[in-house]
Amino acid sequence: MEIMEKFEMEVRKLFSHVSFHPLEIKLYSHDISVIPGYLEKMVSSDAEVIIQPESVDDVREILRISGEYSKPIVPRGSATSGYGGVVPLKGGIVVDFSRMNHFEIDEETKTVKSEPGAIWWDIQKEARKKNLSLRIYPTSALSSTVGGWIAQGGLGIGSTMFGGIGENIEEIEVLDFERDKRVKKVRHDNLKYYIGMEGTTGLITSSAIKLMDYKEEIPVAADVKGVMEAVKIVERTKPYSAILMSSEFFRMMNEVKGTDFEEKDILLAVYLEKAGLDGRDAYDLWNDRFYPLRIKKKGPSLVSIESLIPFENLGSYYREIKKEVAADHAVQTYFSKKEANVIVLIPSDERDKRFMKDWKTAFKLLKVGMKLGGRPYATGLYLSYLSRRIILDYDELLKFKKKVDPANLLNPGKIFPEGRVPMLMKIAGLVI
Amino acid sequence: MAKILEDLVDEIYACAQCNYCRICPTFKVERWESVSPKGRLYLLKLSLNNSELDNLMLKDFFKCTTCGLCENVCIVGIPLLKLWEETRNRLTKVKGVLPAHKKLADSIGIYMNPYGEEKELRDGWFPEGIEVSNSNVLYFAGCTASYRAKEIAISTAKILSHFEIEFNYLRKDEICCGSTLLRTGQKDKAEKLVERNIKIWNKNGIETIITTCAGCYRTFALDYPEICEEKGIDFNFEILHLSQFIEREAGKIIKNGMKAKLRGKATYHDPCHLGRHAGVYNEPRELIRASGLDLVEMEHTREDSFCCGAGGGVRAQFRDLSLEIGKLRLKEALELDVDYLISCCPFCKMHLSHSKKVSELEKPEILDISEVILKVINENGGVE
Repeated sequence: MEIMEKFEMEVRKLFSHVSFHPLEIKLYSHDISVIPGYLEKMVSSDAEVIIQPESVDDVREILRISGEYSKPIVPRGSATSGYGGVVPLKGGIVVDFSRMNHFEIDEETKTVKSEPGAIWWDIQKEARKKNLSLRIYPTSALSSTVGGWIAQGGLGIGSTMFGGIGENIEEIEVLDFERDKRVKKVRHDNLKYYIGMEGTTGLITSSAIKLMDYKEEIPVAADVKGVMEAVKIVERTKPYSAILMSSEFFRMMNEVKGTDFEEKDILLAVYLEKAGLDGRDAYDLWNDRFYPLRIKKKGPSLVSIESLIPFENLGSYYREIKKEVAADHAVQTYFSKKEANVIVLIPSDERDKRFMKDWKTAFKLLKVGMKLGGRPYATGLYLSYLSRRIILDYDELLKFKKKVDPANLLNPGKIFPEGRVPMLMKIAGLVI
Repeated sequence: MAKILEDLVDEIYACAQCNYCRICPTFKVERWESVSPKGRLYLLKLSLNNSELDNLMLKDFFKCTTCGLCENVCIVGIPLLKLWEETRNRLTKVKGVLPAHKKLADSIGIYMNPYGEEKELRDGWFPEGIEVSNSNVLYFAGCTASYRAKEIAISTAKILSHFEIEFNYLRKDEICCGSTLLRTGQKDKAEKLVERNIKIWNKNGIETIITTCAGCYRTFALDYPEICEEKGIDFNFEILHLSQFIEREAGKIIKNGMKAKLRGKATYHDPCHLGRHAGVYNEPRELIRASGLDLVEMEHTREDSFCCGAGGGVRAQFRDLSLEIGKLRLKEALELDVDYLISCCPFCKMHLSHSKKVSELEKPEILDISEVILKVINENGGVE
């Protein structure tokens, strides 16, 4: 019997939810991003099978057959990120965690213990029933998963007050290739080996996430003249969450949605219980926080670049955006504690020549941001060539990766550059 | 494939792949991308680039109940409902109709109803002692209430009679509205029914049509005018669901004039065709409150309502899937510990009752709005 046949037979026998269907596989071999076609063909491949585990035992079995057949594992949440973190580099097993979606809220410790496939907003809805609330959650909370955002090392709503997801986790449970097949309970300093590591060092099977007492959110909108004024307000008034939206963003929203938002640069600052800023109430903007991608309709494609820029250099970065981006674009800036995630959105058309031009602009902005002390929001597959430069403790993390995954089967090519992708993407950054 | 999708390309490419449409009832049960709206859009995108859809994936296109919840949450505002129906029409032309859907069409072709029941038995439900007049107000019972949920048609005739509303009923001349065909990619066949129905109505001097079926309502109110415009046929009919008609004609009487009230806790299931598709949300709720029942809302309600699982030809072709969706909807009602789950559609009632039966549940009692109105009339010494 051929090895692949044997592999398929064993997988079908072991798991209740598997698919070897070539079109289903296509659906699970990409993420939210659309990159130029020729590049996509060179940097990614299709998975060989999709497995949807239902339990920790299933995850353990996935690791076992991965090792036995040398099949890479690509963990997948809802694939709402765009760095190729869930795109298979060398085929293998896509592990879709959507069926492992149970969670339990502990009112005493104010934590939620969640499986990786739980949806953030499902947790929030349950937490609210108990007068609790998530401290932070992604802007894609309506569909994105706990495991996916932790593996991404996410920043999002609430990060202005509470920082990144790493600062809001008590403990995670992980399985990897080390000989002991029991789940590892990881806390404190050791969390750095997993958070933001895209599943390259282990598969997260459970997470204990900190909650807070629910407090009424009071969104306030203020007109600002430039990003540095917004920074001053954020530093002075310490909101729970803060987003600066450019006038172009509102113009595009009005165009595609028929709304009548004022077309000005507006800081949306959200406070808990008591407003810290004079301004108009902004429940309309706050309720729209999950929909920054609405403007994609203008495209129909969208090229976006996300850079984390230190507060002090945001003014310079905004000037560079103005200088470098000739195409119609919008900017959304999400403030964290000391840096901000600046997202430049360029409506484009993947069927058109301008798509390449817009990608060239995106790469330029990435470089400019890095010169200003910034870094891309994530590296995933496509930007892994930058990991060594931007990830603190990179060498230590690499050493750890080799220890727990000696055969490099855990999401290969992500974070830790491998094969020709880093070179191709580097060249792409230079030439497109 | 690529050719037949050419003019839909902008919609297909607009998908932001945000996955908010994973709220889809079919996805909630099956959990595979290929049945999610986003997945289907991606498959269409692959088809545009010459990837051929095989039969398995084609089937997944028909697992959609056409409930329209995906369109409600789509962040880029893709008109998904129209897209799914249009895609189905085109897919059936090149790949053929699914077996159960063909059977429905064959039955309609022969018997003028999808159940394969004799035409002669269509008015078998009509209660003795109630008169049909030559009024320009027509009660259109529809296939499901005529053959499978007769209590709804019977209640309606009694209610109209109680309020002394003269109405016409076409008995054996009533034929299928064509909803089933429109939802399963057989628009060409449905068009013949549209023409025929309009001819019958014109011949009988009909001006207002009252339906108790959300599917018939949506089809008459939304699809007929569109098809008539395409075909250059005049369409001058007022279409009302029974809940709208009764709320307008007798809402105040029920609320203020009927002193004996019903007791118990009830929730209302918005049929997709009546609610999300046609925007009728308030009248059924007003009537439930007027009846005296304590109305509470399920987690998914009004625009966000969750499908019963029967629509879009899913009950016919994918029975297990449709029942699993029905169970999810029932679960929401169970969480409220209600006595009654009320809807405005015989197909929803029939399917939710079936889901309840396979779940071996005792509660809640599943009722149509017409039965609720009749109950309150009876409480007040009405028709019985």
